[in-house]
Amino acid sequence: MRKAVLIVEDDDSAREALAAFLAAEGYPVSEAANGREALDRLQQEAVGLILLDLMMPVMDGWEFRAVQMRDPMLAAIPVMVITADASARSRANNLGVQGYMTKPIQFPQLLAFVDRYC
Amino acid sequence: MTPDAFRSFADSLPEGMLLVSGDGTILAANVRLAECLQQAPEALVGTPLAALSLDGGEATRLLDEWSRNSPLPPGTLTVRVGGEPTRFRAEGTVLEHVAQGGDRQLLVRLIPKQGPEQDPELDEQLLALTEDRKRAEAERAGSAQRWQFLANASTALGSSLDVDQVLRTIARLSVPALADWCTVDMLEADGSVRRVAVTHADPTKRDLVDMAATYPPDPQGKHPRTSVLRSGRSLLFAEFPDESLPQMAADERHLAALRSLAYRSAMIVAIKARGRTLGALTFATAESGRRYGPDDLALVEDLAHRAALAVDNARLYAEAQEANRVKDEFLATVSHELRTPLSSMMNWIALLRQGKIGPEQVSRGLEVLQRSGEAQARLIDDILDVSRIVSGRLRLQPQPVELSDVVRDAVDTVRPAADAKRVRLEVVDEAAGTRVLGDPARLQQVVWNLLANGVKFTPEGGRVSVLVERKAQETRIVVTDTGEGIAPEFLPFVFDRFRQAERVANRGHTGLGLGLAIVKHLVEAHGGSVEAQSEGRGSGATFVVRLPLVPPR
Repeated sequence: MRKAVLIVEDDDSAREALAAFLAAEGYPVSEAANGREALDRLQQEAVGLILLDLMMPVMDGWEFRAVQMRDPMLAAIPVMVITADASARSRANNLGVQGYMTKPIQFPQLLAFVDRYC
Repeated sequence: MTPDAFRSFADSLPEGMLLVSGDGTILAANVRLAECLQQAPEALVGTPLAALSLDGGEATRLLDEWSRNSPLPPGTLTVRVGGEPTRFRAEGTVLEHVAQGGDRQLLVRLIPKQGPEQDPELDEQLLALTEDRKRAEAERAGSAQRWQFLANASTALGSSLDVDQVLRTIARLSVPALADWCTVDMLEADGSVRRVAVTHADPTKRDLVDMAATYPPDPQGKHPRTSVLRSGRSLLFAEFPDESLPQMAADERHLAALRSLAYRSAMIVAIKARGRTLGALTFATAESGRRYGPDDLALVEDLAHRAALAVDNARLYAEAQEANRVKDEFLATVSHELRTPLSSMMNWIALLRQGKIGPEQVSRGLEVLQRSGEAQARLIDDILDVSRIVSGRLRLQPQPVELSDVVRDAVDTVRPAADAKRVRLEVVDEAAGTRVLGDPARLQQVVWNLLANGVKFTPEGGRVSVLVERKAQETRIVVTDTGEGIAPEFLPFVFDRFRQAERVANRGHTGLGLGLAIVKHLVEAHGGSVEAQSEGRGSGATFVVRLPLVPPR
């Protein structure tokens, strides 16, 4: 069975559309509104790729990534950062993530990326 | 010494004197000597000492001896006076300041041999003259040192935009050049006093210095520095009375420390810029025994003035930097806030174009597109409003307006957002029929902004209420929410442009933080006022808008 794409994004309508889009492309999709919810989802299902927003309430993307990297069960899961903060790129380099994209999403690149990991 | 200076003191002496250059040329002669030689004083100027002497060799030998020996041994000169060879005892003195560099000059006393060999009174006068000269020299040297000090201090003041670093350098330069002990104290924005620097010439007093450093003057205290900080006027204590120490000490330990420091003399000057006292410089002497006078006070006042300019510059620079930083942050926030609805729109467009969703989801997508587009349009309107406000181009179109209508329209506009978040929206209108003169669209914008703000910061299940009431001279619109409230330290800034953005971006709230700045401007443009109240975080917030019933012309 294919592993899910976990979408971590606090904007409900943006997340809803992205989830529906990926589902329609045939990928199993899981959703979380912040880093805390994302950690919960990771405990419950097999995730092949995380699409991670950075600026979120409760637990932001930076903190989520730090927690993920400390957990040997989760550290290997590839992450693509998708952020509206155009100035975050240089700082995001330190996160050691597999992909980075500034919103709005460029869908051809996103699909190629998702296809590689899921 | 110039010939004029020589004449000005030597002419009053009852004995003959010459000013002679190193090579033996007479530079000046006093009146007494000229009388003695029966010539005009000017006639002697420029001639060699040897020419004055009947036996030229005698003078040459004497000058030669004087050039090799110190102190100068007295000699004899034979000079023709009215045809008669007259023997004079010659005593020479090297002028000290010229001896230190530059041309050598000699002060030569000529005493007739048949006269009294020694005149104690004369010697005393000469001694006094030498003392005077030495003091003048010392003063000149002191003045040169002062200029050097001020020059060094100015260089230090201009070398950094870090206020504390600049002030620490001043304290370091002042010891031991000006004082045995120097402290710098700055007034903080909250009225407290912060000790920035302490230096002491004697390293063994390090402990005492540390001790005194832990006792910065309290703003209400009796320490004389307190009065300088308050009045901005300098204080000079030429001699420090020991009795005054207990008044300055915070406690016994402090008093003991002050006693062991053994103050002798002190000066306290205010650091003042643009009429405001920013801090004070304190200089004190102890072991050096130096006593301050008005000259010293003038010098440190000059220093304090320069320090004030440097501190003022550094502060203005820091403020400009801060304004720049806030603006940069604002631009980053604008970019983020415009991208967020745009991102949602693009996701929905991708989903719609994929063509795999049902009609229900299609209509939901279109609704999202419309809402996101409207949100973006509002953001752009807010940015343009702020731009108009900043450049003074925001125009009102005033007309008689019924406030109840304004509030109702605003409530209608914000209700969908409140419903979506399950936040209760309550209206209490106690001012039906009340009219004000205003721009209805702008007044609605005011109320809408306050309501939308309340809904945004109020959690699900909370309540936002609006009360319209009429008082004797004004109408009030009071918007209260049960939201997260405002921290007391942030309360003074809620109406500042850009401020909200930096505070809440990471807490997941959207918006540019322009809404309240626009509200304040619009209310004030209507001759009214707006005020924010909150008991603090977690206890909700209240905004009170006051509008005049009869607007000012």
